[in-house]
Amino acid sequence: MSEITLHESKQPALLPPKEEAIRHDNYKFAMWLYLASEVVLFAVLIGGFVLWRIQFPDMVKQLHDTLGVVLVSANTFLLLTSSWTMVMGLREIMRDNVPGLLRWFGITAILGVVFMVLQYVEYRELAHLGITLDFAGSASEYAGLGVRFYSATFFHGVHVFVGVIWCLLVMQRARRGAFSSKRYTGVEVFGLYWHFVDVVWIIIFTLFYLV
Amino acid sequence: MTDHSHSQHHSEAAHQDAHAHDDAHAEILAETTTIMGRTLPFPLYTVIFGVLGILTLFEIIIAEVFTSWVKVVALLAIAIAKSALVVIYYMHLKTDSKIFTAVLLVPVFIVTVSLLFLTITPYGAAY
Repeated sequence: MSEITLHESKQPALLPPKEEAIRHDNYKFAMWLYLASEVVLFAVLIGGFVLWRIQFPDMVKQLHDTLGVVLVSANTFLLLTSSWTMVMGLREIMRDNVPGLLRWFGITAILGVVFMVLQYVEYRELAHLGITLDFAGSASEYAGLGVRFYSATFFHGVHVFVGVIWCLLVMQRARRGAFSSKRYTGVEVFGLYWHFVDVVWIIIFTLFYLV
Repeated sequence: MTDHSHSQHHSEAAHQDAHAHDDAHAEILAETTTIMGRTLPFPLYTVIFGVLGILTLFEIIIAEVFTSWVKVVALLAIAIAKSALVVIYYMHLKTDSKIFTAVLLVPVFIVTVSLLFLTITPYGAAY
């Protein structure tokens, strides 16, 4: 009796170029649909703060004067830089340079972590000012502000956290040879998510901290 | 339309798609970027990053210097410009299928109209 040996490939076989392109676009389309739902979620959270801000401009101005813009500006530059390192990683895999992808994505993940640390520092400062979640109402001079501020910024922070984990998973897959110049859907779909998180921060930075 | 002309039309469309795809790749992989006739010694992604950084600096300066409605309009305009740059170049909407653009713009339009409506209606209780 002859022996049958099964060779298990780590990666599925590359499809013909046309089918591979269709598969690539299908995954991206699915990601765009997901991001469209996220647009609505963030609009509700950001809109809640903006409406509050229009009603109580002095309270928000007082908060701006107390906090300043140094910390949040640093965070904004971190996230902008992480978007750049992300696309540079994508550029490397399009040139079949896996070590290049790993290097740029490693920086992306670190920038994401530093962003979260700085956000924690900011939350501590806000807590010292008496700005808390405040669900039940309080006599604080910032009553009602905390829940609107934290809900949007924390929800965004959670997205950064998920993005960092996702980035590490993409790096792990890259190490195993999952991506090449002919197959990088997983990298680009993650990129769409990461850039969306960046765009949301661009809006939050302007509406929450500058206006 | 005959079967022959139909398949020819499909073939031409596929060829154009492939051509646009190749152009997009070439633009991303190039070591230089040409803007308004000037060639910069940086890849496209780095040039966009530079523009985003400069716009952010402008935002911070405007926020610190101006106090009137000009500040609000300028900051919103810059935020929209920055978001557009990320979406068009980093998220590749410039070269990807227009369906992706529609998937993004439809909810953005709906929530913008909804929020504008809410801003002009009287606000309820303070808490």
